[in-house]
Amino acid sequence: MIEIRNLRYGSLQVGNLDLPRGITTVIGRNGSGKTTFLRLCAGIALPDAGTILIDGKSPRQREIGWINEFPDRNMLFSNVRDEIASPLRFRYFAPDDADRSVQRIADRLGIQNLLSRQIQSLSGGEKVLVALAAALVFEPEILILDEYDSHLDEKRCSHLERILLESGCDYILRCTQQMETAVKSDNLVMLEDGRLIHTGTPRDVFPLLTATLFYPLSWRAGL
Amino acid sequence: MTVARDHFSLIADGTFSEGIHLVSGDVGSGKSTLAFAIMGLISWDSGTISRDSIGPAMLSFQFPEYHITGMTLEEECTSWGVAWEEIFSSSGFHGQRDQSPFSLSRGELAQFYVSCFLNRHDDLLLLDEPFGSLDCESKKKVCDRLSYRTTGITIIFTHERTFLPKVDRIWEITDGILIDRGTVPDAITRWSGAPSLIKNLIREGKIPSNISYADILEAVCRT
Amino acid sequence: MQDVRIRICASVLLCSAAFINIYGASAALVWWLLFTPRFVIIHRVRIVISMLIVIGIISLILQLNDGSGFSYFMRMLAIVLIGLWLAAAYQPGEFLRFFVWMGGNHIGFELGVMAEMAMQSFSTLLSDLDHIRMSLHMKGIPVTIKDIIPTANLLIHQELARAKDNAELLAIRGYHHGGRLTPVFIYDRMDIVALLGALLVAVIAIFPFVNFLYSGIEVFRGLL
Repeated sequence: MIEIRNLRYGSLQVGNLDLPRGITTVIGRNGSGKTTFLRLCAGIALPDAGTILIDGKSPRQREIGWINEFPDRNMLFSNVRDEIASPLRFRYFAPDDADRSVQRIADRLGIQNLLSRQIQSLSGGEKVLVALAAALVFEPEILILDEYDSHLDEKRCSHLERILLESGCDYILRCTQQMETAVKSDNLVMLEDGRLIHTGTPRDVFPLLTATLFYPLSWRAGL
Repeated sequence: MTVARDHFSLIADGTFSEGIHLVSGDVGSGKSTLAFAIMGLISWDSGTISRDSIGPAMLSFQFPEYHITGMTLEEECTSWGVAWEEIFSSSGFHGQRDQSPFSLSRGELAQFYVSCFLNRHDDLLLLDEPFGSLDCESKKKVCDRLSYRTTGITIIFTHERTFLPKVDRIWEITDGILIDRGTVPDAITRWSGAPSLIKNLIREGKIPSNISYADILEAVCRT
Repeated sequence: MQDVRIRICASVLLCSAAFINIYGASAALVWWLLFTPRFVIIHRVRIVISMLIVIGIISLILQLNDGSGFSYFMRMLAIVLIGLWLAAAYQPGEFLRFFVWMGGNHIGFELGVMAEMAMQSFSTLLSDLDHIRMSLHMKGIPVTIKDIIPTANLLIHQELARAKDNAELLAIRGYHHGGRLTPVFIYDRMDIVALLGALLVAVIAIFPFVNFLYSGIEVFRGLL
């Protein structure tokens, strides 16, 4: 369980929240605090008050894979192989083991043909896949994705959805503006003006939003 | 017109007349390249692009921070030839005039710039993924405002699946070739890259009259 | 020249030779003509031309002043061309391998990561500059001298934001101190020939310099 207690950071005030294992999607308007919330859960930022514990430990004591919204800002190196291998190299993995892990994750994500390419020559979708590979290569316990799908087409999003389901991560936290993606979650969190306004399964939360544009169009169509 | 780069090629042959055009395609298909070429910002390898009797033209970049040339939001408005009061009243944008553009989230920056573009009166307006960083409500607002553009040529390059404006013509880029699917509503049935929700509606015989949220909702509710 | 170690070593020898005297500079230019693709790999021709114009102006001033303009021009031209060749021949990942080879998995790896990130930053800086130019062009704002400061401010802002993102990404990817990598290099016979050529250029530069130094010492002893 991810246990959040009396969380405060700037104008974000979440109070108490428990997130079970599985996929949790955070939704809300621009500026509602989604990115800030995810950064706190990733340990990138530290709360002004309150605590976040992931199975009893703070985020900085956990292995976390992170992808932010902007493909260009997810890259440290100029070539794909170095980018994907970087978390393993930073952890002093034996070079042969690192190479094997890089090949394995590239095969799993279907990006073997990109390994020898330069990051600059990749499309936006390919960059997201490389960032995902770098986030998953060291088999993290938790994967956190900040609007990773905002620059992806439907086909690419479906492909990524399958990869996320097969990732083996105990917790996947993500935020999205695509409600058709949000319906495929185990848990939903909605923020507004830095406050938690709804939490629960999609079946619990979305009926409360029927009068808003956040209600999935596919549900209106009975799909 | 043809463009060929290391891992990518695009062939485009067509005429964009007055009205609102949608150019769809997967990530990496060449939408941005086509937009830049039409604007004259990049060179192409063969063919011609002519803009007959086209006056002012504008391209909205996919990533809004690429537009920043001023130190404050009011300076930005001035650089676009738009009054601050117009932006504030028409878009629901809630920033401060002396605020730095860098202090806004990407979604807020995207909202701001789309408002700047839509308050101008360009003969040719190219919008490269204008919905990328926007929340549902902002996307709907942008679509509604776009639908009111009755003069000039508007070309929207996007892979957005839910919130789209009413358009006159649909194009798509498939396997590196720009294909004209024709005028709406006939083009909707010929659109191979249509969002899955629209494809489901077509399968059920509920063809929407256009591709806006309201038109899809109307088709969904049809018995 | 695929091996970055040979390329860097050759560049250091050639630039040093060019700096020392006109003999070294001339020999370095001959080396550049023989062993590099010359201007084919230079993509930003306007930058090259701007640099050459600046060097030309300074050389003219020096020539009118004390007659050393021609020597200055030849030496700077050689250094600039060798530098441009080195920059254009860079392949992503090379500096990381080079510094790990030089300094090991701790200090070497850190220097390599810094170098790679610097190269990445440089390329994104140029891309940001392109976007600013495009944006100003589309807004119909002519680029003037007084736009330099706001443009520089924007570029610095973007770079600082990127640096912050990079720092967070490094931390979350588990970076503490150094890393582990086995550098692999590929070279062929022509690389060795080119390196020997660079060594010869250095000798050509040093020989007159050594002679000059020796003459200087003799004069000094004579005075004493």
